[in-house]
Amino acid sequence: MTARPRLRIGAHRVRVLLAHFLVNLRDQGAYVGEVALGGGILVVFLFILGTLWEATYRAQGAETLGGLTWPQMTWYVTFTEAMVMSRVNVARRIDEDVRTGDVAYALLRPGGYLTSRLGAYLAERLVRFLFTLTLGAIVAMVIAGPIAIDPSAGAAALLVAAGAFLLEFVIVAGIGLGAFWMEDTSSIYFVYTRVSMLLGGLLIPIELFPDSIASVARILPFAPMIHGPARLALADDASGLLPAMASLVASMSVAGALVAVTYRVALARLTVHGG
Amino acid sequence: MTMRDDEAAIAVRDLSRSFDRPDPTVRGWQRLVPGWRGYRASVALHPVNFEVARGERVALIGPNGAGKSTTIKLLTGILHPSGGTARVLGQVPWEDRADLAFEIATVFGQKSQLWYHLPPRSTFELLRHVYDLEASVVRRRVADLTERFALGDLLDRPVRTLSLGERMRCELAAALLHAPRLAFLDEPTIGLDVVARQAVRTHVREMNSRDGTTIFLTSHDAADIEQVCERAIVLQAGRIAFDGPVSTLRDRFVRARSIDVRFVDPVSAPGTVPPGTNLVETEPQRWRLEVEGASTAVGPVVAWVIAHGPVADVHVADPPMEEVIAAIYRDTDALDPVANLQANP
Repeated sequence: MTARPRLRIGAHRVRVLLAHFLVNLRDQGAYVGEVALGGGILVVFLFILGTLWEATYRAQGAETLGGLTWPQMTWYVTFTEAMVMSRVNVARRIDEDVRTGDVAYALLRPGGYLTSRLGAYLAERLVRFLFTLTLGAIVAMVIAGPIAIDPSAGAAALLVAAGAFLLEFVIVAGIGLGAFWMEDTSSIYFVYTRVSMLLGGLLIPIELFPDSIASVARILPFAPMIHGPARLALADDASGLLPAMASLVASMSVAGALVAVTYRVALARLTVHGG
Repeated sequence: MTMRDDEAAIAVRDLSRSFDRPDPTVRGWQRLVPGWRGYRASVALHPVNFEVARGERVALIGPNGAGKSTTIKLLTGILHPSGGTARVLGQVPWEDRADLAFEIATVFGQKSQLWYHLPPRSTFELLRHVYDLEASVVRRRVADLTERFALGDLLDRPVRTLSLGERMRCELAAALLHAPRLAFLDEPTIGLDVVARQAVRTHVREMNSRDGTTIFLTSHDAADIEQVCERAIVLQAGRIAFDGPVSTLRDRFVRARSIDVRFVDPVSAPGTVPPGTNLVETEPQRWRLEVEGASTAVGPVVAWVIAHGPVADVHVADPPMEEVIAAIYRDTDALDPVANLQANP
């Protein structure tokens, strides 16, 4: 048998990715309770955040803060919470696969280990995101009422959100692959989630950050993943799409290169050194 | 047995593997000293040689730590060797792992590839894409496997509702979906009840006879080896201690065969017994004798017994395979060296 051409391998990978995505989508039905529990927490968070922002606007006597009215701010945190609460801890799953040796067994099947993990991640993330966003929208509607969303800006926001999902997979997969060298990667994941929530603009838009912190936040990949899609959804048009995507692509290039090298070294550790 | 490496299903030449293990005598702070590595090379597999012909059914057996898992990992390409080479279906596994993956099947008794909350059909659909198969080919294949493995309605029931035996049948069918030419089966019957174990063995034999799939099986279960495989390779401390037919393994290893005799009428105990024979039990109408080693012929002993009186029944028994394997695990030196078809380095 001759080796498969690269183009054919690429097309095969895409089909395998899609197949993993679809089978995981069907499998999500078994985890309705888990998702619903996350939804309950989201409702509580949004009520608290909406009330806090209302009090802040009243205390400041301001009509807008960071260019957003209070109803828009409530919808902003709804979107950022949907981005954060729909997170899937891929790092933990990869960590487990490395520790139990399942990663070696996965290598015995065509299609690639990370392809299967990405397919599973995207399916789970999509279900969680749609659920939290829908539930959050209902809560925001109750708290702050409806707001006008430009359809093109809304669509652009969803595109950026999809890009953010991919970038987060790359970063978090990299953390999980750390299990080849470390006893436990959960502490790194914990730090990642906290830093990204703080500097990504989960509770406060970047525009309201002090200048020194805002300039750091704009360089790091967290704001394009959390603040980026939420702010774009509330924009008047989709003109922010290209800069947001460019920022994601730049972060993904760096993170992707690092993870690709890490994966190669990890595989060599497994296959050459025996894990 | 010699064949060209690309003709054999598996051809292994001086394949070896060592691992660096932490040296327990080196303390933590000493590992920080440059040049003081604190690791020792531990040999998991000494240079070994063997071939498996296409369509053969071979068992790789040995106690824990003998090098079975290392051998399988090397042959499936998830481990690089320290020395030597191997060809699996004509390919070097650690160089051509991605291509080889389309040609082989791996079944690990303790690792399921079925989706727990979904029906097996969903896994089959996923595997269709993983193995890059045409939908029409898979439809025919699933119909065939459904008939052979009696899957019926199992295909559409969530895996969590299936019994262990039913799950294992689906597992085997999933492994065969892409018509592999070589199947690595690692403890395929572990945790199954007697009936399910029997069914798995039957299906594996059928997979071999009907599809010509080469079987490379590891198991601690004697019946798996005896009922499925025609040849056994025994690994002991990383070396091949035996490589030959399963029947030879037993014949060569027989230390004592037992002869149970039931007489028609009571007979008196004999004063002497033939050389190499022990009289273990004597009752008025029943004797039990042990004939030592494989070299002592049983026929003359039976003739000697019959000379003592009319016999109602004679039963000559080899030790069960389980005992043979247990003895191999305890001490490979106990094997008759003549049976060692391969000299070890």
